[in-house]
Amino acid sequence: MSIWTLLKRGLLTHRTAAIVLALVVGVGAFLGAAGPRWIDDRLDHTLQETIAGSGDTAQVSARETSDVIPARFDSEIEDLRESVAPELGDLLGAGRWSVSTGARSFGTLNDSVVDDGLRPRRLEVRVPDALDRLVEVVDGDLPASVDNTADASIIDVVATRPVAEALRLEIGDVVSFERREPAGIQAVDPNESARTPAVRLTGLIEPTDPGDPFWSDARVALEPDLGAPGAEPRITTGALIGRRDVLQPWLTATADTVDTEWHVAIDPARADNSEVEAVVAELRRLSTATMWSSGLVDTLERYPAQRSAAEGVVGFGMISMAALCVTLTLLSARFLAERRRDEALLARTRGATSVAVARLLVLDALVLSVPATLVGALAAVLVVPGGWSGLGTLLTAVPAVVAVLAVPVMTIRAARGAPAAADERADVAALRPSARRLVGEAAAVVVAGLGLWLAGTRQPGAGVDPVVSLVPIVVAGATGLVIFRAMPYLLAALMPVLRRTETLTAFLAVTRAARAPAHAVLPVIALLVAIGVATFGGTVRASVDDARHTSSWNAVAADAVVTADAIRVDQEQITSIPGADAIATGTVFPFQRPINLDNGRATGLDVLAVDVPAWQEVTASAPGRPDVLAALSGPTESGAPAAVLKGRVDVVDVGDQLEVTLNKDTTAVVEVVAMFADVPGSTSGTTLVMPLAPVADAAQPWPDVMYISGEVAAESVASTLGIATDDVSLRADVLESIYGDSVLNAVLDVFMIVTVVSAVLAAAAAVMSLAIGERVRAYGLSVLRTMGLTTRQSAVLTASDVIPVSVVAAAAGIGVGTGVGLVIADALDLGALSGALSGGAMQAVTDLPSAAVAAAAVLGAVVLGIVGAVVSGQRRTEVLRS
Amino acid sequence: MTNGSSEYDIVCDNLVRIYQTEGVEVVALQGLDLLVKPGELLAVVGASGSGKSTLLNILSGNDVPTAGRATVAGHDLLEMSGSNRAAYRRDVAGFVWQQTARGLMPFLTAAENIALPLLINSMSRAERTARAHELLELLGIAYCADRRPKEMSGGEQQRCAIAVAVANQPRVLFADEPTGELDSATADDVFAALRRTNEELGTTVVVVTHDPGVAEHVDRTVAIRDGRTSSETLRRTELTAEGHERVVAEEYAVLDRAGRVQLPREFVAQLGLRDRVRLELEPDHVGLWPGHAGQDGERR
Repeated sequence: MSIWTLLKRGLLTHRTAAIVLALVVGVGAFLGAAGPRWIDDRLDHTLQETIAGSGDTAQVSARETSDVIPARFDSEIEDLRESVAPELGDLLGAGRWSVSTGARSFGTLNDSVVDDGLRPRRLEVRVPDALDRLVEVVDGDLPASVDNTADASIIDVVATRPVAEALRLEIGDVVSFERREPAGIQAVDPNESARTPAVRLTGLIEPTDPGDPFWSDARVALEPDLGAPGAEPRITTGALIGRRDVLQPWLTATADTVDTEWHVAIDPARADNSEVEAVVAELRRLSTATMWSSGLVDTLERYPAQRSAAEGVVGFGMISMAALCVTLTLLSARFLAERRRDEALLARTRGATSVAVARLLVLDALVLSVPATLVGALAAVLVVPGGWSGLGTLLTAVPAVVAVLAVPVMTIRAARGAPAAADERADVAALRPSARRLVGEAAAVVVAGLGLWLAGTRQPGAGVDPVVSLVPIVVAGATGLVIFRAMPYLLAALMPVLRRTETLTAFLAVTRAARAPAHAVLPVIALLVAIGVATFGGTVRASVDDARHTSSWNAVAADAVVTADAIRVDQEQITSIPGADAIATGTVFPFQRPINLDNGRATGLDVLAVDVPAWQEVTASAPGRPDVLAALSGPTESGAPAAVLKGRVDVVDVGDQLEVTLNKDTTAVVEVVAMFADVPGSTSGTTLVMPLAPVADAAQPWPDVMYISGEVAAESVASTLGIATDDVSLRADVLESIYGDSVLNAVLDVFMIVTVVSAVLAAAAAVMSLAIGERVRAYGLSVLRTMGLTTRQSAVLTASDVIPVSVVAAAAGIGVGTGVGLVIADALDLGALSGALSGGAMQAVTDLPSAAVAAAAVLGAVVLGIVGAVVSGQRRTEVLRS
Repeated sequence: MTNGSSEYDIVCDNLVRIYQTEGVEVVALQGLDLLVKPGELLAVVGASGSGKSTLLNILSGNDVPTAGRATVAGHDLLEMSGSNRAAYRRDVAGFVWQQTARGLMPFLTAAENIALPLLINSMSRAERTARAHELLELLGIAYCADRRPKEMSGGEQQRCAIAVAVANQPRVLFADEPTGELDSATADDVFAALRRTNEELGTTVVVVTHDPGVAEHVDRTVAIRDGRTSSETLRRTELTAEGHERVVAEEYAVLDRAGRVQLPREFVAQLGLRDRVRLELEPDHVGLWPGHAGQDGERR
């Protein structure tokens, strides 16, 4: 049979079923090809945005101090670069390097006083790899050459204007480096004067590109470090910049050591997940070695955890989507197989062997599925940016492979019996399942339960976990099987009641569902999976949302927290803060030494005493009490008031009782019930947070800390209390920061899209499975129509037939989606997805209203589709001819 | 929608039905005429493709004719709306399929199946139950009341299907090859059931079959050929001189309103009739001779 004949046969015979199969395979191939491309691209793109947004901190620097051997200078640089992982080098490129030398003490020949000699300081002479391209001269000249006539140890340098001004240098001035031990200035041996390093300022410069990573290094800052704010200005670090060709003679003359440095900016466009993971891992290694790294780790440290959590949930989506695509392909293959059954039967009666029929059907399926796969993959390449991956190739090919295998197998199986018997076989199987079938179904249910238990024990951060990913679908399928077996018995209980009624449709629908449930099994399972997947997505989304709010409450423990050194305003003014509904105050008692009554040892810490009842009122609108407040509000073993510790102290453990004496005569005993890394309102180090009531006598009239509920603005709070705006922290800002996390948002977007697509596919599977039963349904209707059933009654009957099954499936889907979401929430790492990396496991929460809406939407689509098909079909044929 | 005379339950006048099947036009009925009186038990016979099933589908309200006129119990089948057609199928026309189980819901018992059209007709539960048992008794399958179709024999299924078809007391019962899947003994049972329905309920029964043997069971047999009624066989019972009952069957050609007659195929073959024939009007009959040249000469 020629390809053309096959093509004609494939497309022209049983056209609807053939087109459905081709469409399903094509869509499956598109999703298989596009999914991994889009997800990788989306996450990487977000990562790149994050890197680009982090500006100067997105760079890597490495440094090594060594005795210089000028002749080996280039190899020193190369060794430094090679000491990092190849992945890092590949990602970062050549970067920039520089060499620096300097002295901890120095003096200027123009008698400028730049140091009081009490603290270490360092004046750097830095020699970058390409001075001419790095700077622009704004005054004077670039360094020319070594002053051979005078002293080889004097080199020309340039500096930025702020550095020159801080050093009180003018062009032409010379700075000599004095060798001095920390104890004091050492007298310079006149014989060594020729080897005294010194520099001469020849010009003032500005950077050609201030964004060049060379300048972002704090030790090459454009402006010098002038010491602590408020103290007498003094230079602790300042950089003078020289030319590379002066370095070697100068180092020869001074025999000094040099630091070789290599630092580069990360190119966001080149950053993808695998490289960033390698970079972060390498930077962690470097940070523990002699080398030094920039703030990149801080910038990206959340990304791997979030990416891992993302891969977990997205993995679920991808695997469920693939499973649903396969299911849909199987259903459409069965749809086609039923249409081609008669043909296969005819071929067999004319002597064709099963192998010959199978071969023809394989070619048939190939003709339909291969072009569809190619079109789907091509569309994915054209529409979705990204690269090919092994997973993408696999997912692209799976629908076609399944179709090619399923069409012949299903058709030959369908053709084994007589056509009439084939129609009825499903009913027999449903009512009297074979022992083998029952055992198989029981095994599937057990496996699903086992999978759910295993998923519940999974730890977060494992990335794509097939068990976790498959559990929602497997559990939904198993639940569908259980319902399928149990539903006839439940419906049978309704039949005596319905038999007494005058309602045709309810009687027929329930009777059929109870006595011949086989027609319902596929829709039940497919619908259950659809709604289960949608509900599961809703549960995760709601849990993440809840976790975000919980994080914000834990971070602020109020709508606003004010932390200042004594808020010196009257009580009336405090209560008049615009928008404030409730206020709790706290007082800080610094430098206290409570005594641990359990071991008799004292420890130095601050005490923060808070009005706990008022604090509880402040947090009344929170979904749950913030962790700190919950701990303070709980009972204690000893009966003493509860207290919590911020930070850790060697001599105090949870459960210890501390005796706190404030202002010499106010003493209280508290029990430490918990320790926290941070407590909202506490700005100092180790702090004991306790209720105010027992020590209220010792409190000053002005609070140090205020917890406020209500819609307050930082500016109005600050102006009312006469404090700086920076002293006010708003929960809304924290929440905004959490919701503004681009990586996390991308993860959630990806997850939701994958979930929605999965739900749509499952709903399509439900429609498809109902369509498979359409022949039987149409036959039943045709018989009823000969008895005078009207079109409206047909539609109502069909709806009554579909709705009970669908409602049961929807309710079960909501239960499965919610239950599975609650059980495997920890494995999905909701904490990382909520942006709270250090808060421990987050509680999953249900979102039943959204689940009900999702279920109603899926249900509505399915019912409308089926009823619409019935009505339009009857209108089209005008009258019944079956 | 009713009109026409109540003299006939079924009136077909120049009935035409043309199908479009994959672009090919098929003329299934080409000017068929038929009159059926109330209470008749009629068989429509014909070879496969002659148009008898098409006729039955039209008369039962399951198909619409292309042209002509068809009324059943005064209902004009060309003019009926969708809802009227449903009411017609519910109240006027009962239908029995060839496949024994086809007219039955497999998940309902026999009694429930019979009660189903009554439920469609909004009859009360008591009436449904009484009517179902009455019909089960009438058709001799009362013992099957609680059995589902799978638990009944083919004959029982078909009798149950007849009960379903007549549950709403239709004026006319249409049966499409009701014995086509049954052995002869069972077929006799089914025909007996149809006859009982006809006699005891007064229902006009039209049976379509390709089996000429069916004629033994009915009073009148209408043969269809090429989409037209070609002949009728009337059966009557006479008493012989010895006082025994004798069934007399006489076959008639059908004369349509345009004066056309279809000659039986065997007559045509035996006399070699083709193209033209010569007619002669005699005082009490019409004579017909072959009209080709040789024979023409001989007659002259």
